[in-house]
Amino acid sequence: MDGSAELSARGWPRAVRSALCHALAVLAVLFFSGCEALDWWQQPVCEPDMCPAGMRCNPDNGRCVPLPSVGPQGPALHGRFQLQSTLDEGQTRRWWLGFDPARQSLALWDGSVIRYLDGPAASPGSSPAGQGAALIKDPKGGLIAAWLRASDGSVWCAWSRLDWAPVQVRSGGAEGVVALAADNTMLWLASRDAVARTVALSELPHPVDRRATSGWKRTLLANPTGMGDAPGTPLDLGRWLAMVVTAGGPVLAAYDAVGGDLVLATRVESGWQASRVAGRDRLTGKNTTDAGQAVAMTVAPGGALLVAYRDRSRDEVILLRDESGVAKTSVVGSGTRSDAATATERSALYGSQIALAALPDGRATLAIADAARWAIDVAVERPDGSFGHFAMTPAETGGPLAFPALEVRSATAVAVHALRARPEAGPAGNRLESKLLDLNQGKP
Amino acid sequence: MNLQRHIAVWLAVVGMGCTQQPLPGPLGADRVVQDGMRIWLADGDLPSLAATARALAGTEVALVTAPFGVPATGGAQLGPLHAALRLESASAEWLSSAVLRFAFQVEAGTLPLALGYPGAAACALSFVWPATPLLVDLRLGLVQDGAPQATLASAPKWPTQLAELQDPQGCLEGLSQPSIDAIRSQVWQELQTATASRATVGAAGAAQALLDGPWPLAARFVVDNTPIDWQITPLARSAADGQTFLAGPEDQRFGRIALGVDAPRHPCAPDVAPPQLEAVWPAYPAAPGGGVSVARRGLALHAAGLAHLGWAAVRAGLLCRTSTSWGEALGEGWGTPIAPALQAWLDGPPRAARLWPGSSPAVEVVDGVDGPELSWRLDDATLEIVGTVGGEEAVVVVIRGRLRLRTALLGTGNGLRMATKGVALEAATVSSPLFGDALPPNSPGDVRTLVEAAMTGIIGDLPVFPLEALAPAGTTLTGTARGGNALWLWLDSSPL
Repeated sequence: MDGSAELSARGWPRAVRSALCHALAVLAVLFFSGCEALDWWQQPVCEPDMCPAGMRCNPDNGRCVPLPSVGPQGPALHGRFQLQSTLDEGQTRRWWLGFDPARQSLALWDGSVIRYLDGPAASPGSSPAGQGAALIKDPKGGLIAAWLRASDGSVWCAWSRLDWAPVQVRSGGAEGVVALAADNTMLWLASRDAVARTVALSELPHPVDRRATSGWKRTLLANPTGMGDAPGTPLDLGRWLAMVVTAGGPVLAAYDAVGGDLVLATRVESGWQASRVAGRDRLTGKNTTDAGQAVAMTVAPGGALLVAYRDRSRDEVILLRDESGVAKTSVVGSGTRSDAATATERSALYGSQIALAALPDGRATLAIADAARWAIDVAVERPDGSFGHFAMTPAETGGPLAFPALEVRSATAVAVHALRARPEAGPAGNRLESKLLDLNQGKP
Repeated sequence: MNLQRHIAVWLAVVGMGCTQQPLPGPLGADRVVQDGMRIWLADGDLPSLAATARALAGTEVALVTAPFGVPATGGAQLGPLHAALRLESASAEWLSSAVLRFAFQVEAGTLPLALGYPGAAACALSFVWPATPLLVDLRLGLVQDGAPQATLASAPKWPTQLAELQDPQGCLEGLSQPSIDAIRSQVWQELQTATASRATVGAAGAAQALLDGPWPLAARFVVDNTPIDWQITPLARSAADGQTFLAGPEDQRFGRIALGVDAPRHPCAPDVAPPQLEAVWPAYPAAPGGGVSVARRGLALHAAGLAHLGWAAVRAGLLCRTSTSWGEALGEGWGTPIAPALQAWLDGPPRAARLWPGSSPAVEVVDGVDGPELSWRLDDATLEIVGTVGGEEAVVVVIRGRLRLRTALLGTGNGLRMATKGVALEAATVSSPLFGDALPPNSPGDVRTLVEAAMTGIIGDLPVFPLEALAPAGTTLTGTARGGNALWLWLDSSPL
């Protein structure tokens, strides 16, 4: 302690020092006796989800505080974003989760007000957060979000019914994106382990409450069985991830950058069992194409597992439909285009971002980014298994488009969402662009 | 055997899991550049070649023979010969336009002989020869299947009249002249057979090292499901002389090779006919200073042949390439020189470059600062730069138009690679799909550094040709030169 601080402390009035000492003594007695009277101090006054709409519970002072409103166009998200809808007293409420480049924070927008779950906007002075995030429906109600902080590789999770209080799942070592899935009993979170170059799977008994969110059990998908690899074959799993829960349990889709293969892993009693489902010839074992650099999954109402992935070598997006263990693949679309000037064909960057959803009748619908033209190709599966296509182009929307998301609103209506850029304004000028696709009309 | 080995090496180095099939038929005339490639033996490299031949022959020739019955002597025998002949040096010169002579200088020597009758004491005499050249004349020609091969133009020569029998003890007295001649002839023949065979092996081995290559070749290689037809044919020196391959007037000893390549058109390639350029060869440039004991040959690629190879590469889709190995060196601020507004979108270094050549390249051999270079002109090329935006890849810069690329040919450990030496944008436009196929107003639009780095990545990934396919294993690229519109490579190999 330097001299000035010592002088200042000694300079307090005797009465103040005496009161302070007594207060500390009382607190110490209460603390060591386990007195329930301290509960008010440990818990905020406001309870999760008890704040009125448009407000949040501030844990610093235990009071409901208003959330900022950003208007009908929403925040300027950048990068992949997540979209979920919930029913709230008979009304559909939509939630967008993504990275706000202006605030360098993870933003959750419900169509009217915005809440920052992590990053400087949520906690001033903290590191940027939220560039790889996932948002799923909580089987117990509400939503669950997971994200990582790129600055330190930590992974976080939050529940709407716990007022989005962040819970740390991993303290570091993660990179890229996270994937999330849950059923009534378990929650699974997949992230890439940068050191082990494989997927780290974190499991938590579900549901949770505020006091029971620290029981995460983590395993590495280091030597999954069923891959058909020679011993010692290196893996580089998890640069692209997706996860869903089927009737048989959780299914993880991950890209193996060593072989350029798409790997599907399922939870079995002893751990995780994995197999290469694309990118390698199953009979010869030879690498054929680079598959899985962008993958999306969903479960159709009938229970079929749908996996959409990019075949980078062929510049195609493929849909794999697995019904009761019988898998069938079909080409959704191709990025190959003709160049009139040279009478040649060129590939695009087709499928670097894929959104996938299932219609009520089990058909698939996809929104696929063409990152060479900054356009979105919307594909809807026909009853015969072929695909009809609808384009969202920069010319149509007035700006380049990227990062699509899909929302099935009914048997005949699909909403396609994407980020539309205003290039000269930078990423902070991005806006959400939405189109409602009327399947009866056959056009958006 | 060599051909098989070379093909195997070629496949291994190209390393794309290709397979080889017989060519269904000869390539069309427009798919072949006659005299598009040459191999050449410089006069200045003859001493090194001769030293290689001597080393291959072995500097010492040991001789051991059985006793020899001297005819018409009533049973006289010449005892076993034990000799060690030393090849002092070797030289090589062109005896004529088509015959290469190796002269091995055999050290002067004396061979003790023993002559006698069974059961009686032997009489000692000796066989003496002066330092004498042993001559091996080779023709570097074509054999029946069209493969270049070094063959004897005539029997090896070692002048017999210079050797003599020395008989201080009078062993030969009383023998008839035919018997004495038989002794002399027998000894000389033994010496010559042993020495000439070794010299011939050395000379032919060194000369063959000049001729080895993947020729004649007529095969279809399937590379990544793309069939590429190759037809490489050594040509006879003239129609009148169907046997001679590597020959010619003074200091112009070369062999002509017809270079044929064809491929089915890849959808990314324009459907154009191959350039029909005639290979007009200039006088040959001087060879660089040579090493010792190596077989050095010049390999010359005429721009007509290079243009045809470029056409075939484009047609097969091999130049529709994506490279991801070059962007890190540019760092994170690479977008600013192009458009500051673009930089705001970029997460990190460039992620990839994608090239569509758009047309067949026009090729010239030009002088560069550090040596000869190849100038490739693509009249309608498109180069797309892929960046990272919001964590995902996206095309952020497009350069389209005439692109001129200068490359040097470098020898690496196991082959030849092209290195980008410069890029010029001629009538090319720079745009960004992010900005509506334009650039923001007042953008510098300086893409030179970016394009050079991208093309370096794309061209650097191209395995041009493994040296082992052009010459024996261990071959190194010693030098390059420009001669007119041809590129010369000097390839050293040691057949030892």
